[in-house]
Amino acid sequence: MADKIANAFDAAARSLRTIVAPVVDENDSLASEQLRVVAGMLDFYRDRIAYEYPRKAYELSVYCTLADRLLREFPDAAAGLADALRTARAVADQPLAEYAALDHAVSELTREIGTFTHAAWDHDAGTGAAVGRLVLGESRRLTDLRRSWFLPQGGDPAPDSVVPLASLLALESEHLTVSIPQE
Amino acid sequence: MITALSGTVPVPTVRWVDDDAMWFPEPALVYSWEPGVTKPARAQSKIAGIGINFGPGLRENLAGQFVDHLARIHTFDIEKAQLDSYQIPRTGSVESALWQLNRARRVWEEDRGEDLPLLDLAAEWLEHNLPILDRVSLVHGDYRGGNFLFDEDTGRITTILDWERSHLGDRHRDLAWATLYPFGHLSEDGNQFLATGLLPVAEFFDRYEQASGLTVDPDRLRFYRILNGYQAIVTAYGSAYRVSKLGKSHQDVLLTGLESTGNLIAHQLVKDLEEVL
Repeated sequence: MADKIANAFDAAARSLRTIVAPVVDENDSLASEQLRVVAGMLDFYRDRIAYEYPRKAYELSVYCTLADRLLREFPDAAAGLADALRTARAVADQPLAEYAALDHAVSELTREIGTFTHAAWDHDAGTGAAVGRLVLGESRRLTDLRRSWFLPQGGDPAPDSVVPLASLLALESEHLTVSIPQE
Repeated sequence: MITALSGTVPVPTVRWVDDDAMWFPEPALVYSWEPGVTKPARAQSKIAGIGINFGPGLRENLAGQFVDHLARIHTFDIEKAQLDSYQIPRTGSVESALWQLNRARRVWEEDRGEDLPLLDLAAEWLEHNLPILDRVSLVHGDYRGGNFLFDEDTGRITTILDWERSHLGDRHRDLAWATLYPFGHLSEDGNQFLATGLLPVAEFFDRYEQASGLTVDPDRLRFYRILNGYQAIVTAYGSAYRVSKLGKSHQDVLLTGLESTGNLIAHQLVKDLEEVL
């Protein structure tokens, strides 16, 4: 089936490179640089746009896991975190939740996790550290995901250690209610 | 700061200072045009000169100067200079570290468009582990490849730029900054990480100690490595987002590209925090 979104991105980038670039003053280094950056950005999002929804769903899944682990480990946590988790799960479990709903659930959950983290350190450093270890465990999954996401930009000092985005999301798909496109 | 360092390390000449934003939209300074390049003509790097590969030929020549200049900055006699705009933290106190942490936290609060539990955690760990200052140094604040110019033919550093984050405080702030993950890369044989693309990290600290006569304390270094990670993520995820969202600069599209760099630093920050928790 024709991928019209990718086609549109391709056409836009090609337009910049073949029509616009030749008439930009080569002595205008700022314009030349930004033209190159914008065209590259169109290439990047052409290849990434199909994964944005699964990525957001994955992000929500990770934060739901973190909130759940925090609540199991610290059952006396403030009600705000439990409420946010309940709401987030209701969104995450919908087969076709709107993107904005996923995004909003992530925002609510991360704010409550942050509040909980600060409260834990205020209580005592030992509790803070215990909460911190749980936060780090799930944060690593998210930084791994983002390394995969940004891999085509070429800035990773150790690219061979990065799992391709489609593979990473597919590995995690059992936790998601969305299908993963192939790269 | 820049004027005070003239004659100690290569710096541009300051021409005008608009510290009350009378002429520019924000406080600003204009300094002299200096010759040189930030990277070899054929080198690839990410935005803002991050992750430059200088190549083996230039590397050794630049590395020695890079270390020597940093040693001179850190051992500069601040008593001799007119630095009235700079607060001086007390030695034997945690003021230096706390001021830097508070500054970064405030920027995050003002600029962020999202919450990030990793940063909440990092801020708490930092606040509970503030190191005591042993010596007040002049700190550059963004000392790395991309922020100095050099003559490509001779390999001589012609000037050191980007002093906006300079302050009086702990030398370990600069030392840890220059070794941040995205600023460097692996050596050609893949065996060593080169700090800011110039020299292996352990060698960097050894040569710095020899050049400055100052010690490199692993505990302070670890604290500032985490603080720098926190601060760099604040810039990449918070300030870059806010500036580009509000259309505040002529580089908005470049700033959006900082997110990938921010994530590399977040990746390293996770590792660094795992070591201390």
